[in-house]
Amino acid sequence: MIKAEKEQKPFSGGLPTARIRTIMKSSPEIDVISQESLHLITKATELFVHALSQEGHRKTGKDVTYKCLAQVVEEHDSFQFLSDILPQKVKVRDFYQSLQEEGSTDTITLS
Amino acid sequence: MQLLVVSEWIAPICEVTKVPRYSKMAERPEDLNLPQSVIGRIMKDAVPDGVSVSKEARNAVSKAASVFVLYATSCANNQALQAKRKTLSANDVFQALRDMEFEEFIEPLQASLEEFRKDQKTKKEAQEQRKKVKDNSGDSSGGGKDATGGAEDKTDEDEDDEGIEEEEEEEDDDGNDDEDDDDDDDDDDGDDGWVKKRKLVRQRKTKKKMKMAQDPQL
Repeated sequence: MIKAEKEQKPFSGGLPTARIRTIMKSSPEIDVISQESLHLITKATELFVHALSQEGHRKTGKDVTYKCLAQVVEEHDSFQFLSDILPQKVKVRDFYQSLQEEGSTDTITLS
Repeated sequence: MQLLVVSEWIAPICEVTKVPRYSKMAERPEDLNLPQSVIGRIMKDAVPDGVSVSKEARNAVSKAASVFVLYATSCANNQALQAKRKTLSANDVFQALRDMEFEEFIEPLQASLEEFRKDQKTKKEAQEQRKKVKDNSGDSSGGGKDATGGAEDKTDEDEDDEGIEEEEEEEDDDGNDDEDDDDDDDDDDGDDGWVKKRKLVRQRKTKKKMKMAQDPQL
């Protein structure tokens, strides 16, 4: 019975509000959290997870992987705040290459 | 003498047992993670059937969600600070979402808030009703002092009711019914019976506590 109900709703969600409250309280400047705002933040987080994975899927049209999520974060303004948490993966080879290029440009500018 | 000494201790203990619920802090780093299973389910709901979600992606989204909570909280808190308030209100959250460029969330959230408010109202009413029914039946079977003093008993019970209700309301305002919150979210119809049972058990416990606290004083 519960299952059927969950299937009907697009995002039944159900993130634990207690946990959300703990996370909110972990930031020191927070004083009092009203029941309503806690509910809203919980729901907003559910919507956020929904939106992020939807965007990730839309990116490639295939399975949702880390790579497409990182791409979404890079390209969408509203997800910019995640750029440190979801950075694009860079291969070591490419990284060295870019380092070298930077180094070479640096040396050029220096000389 | 001994009884007196014990009575002095019981009241503070009752107070102390309440405390952790109000100041629930993150004690371990895992406390700041959201449950993977729920995140996974929301993600699966977001994409069409047959599309899989990699474990790595799920971990990343779960982390991102935690950060989102913190980000939204601090934005909302800024709003509250600007208005020189200490409590985060619903409007603060809406304004924060506007700042964060998540305007598209506001409309569904407003609907959700309406629902939430209605829920709270009906729950409170139902709780009061249940309490009355429960107390009446419970006292008649358990107490059973006199068959003749029925009317008097009833008035006593009513007074009892009021005392408990006040306490319950305080809890609601502070919103620290952590255990119940988990269930409150979406499955109101499905799990209600179970929640009811738990609430009843809790009520009985608080009643016991109150009696324990009161008896020694008498």
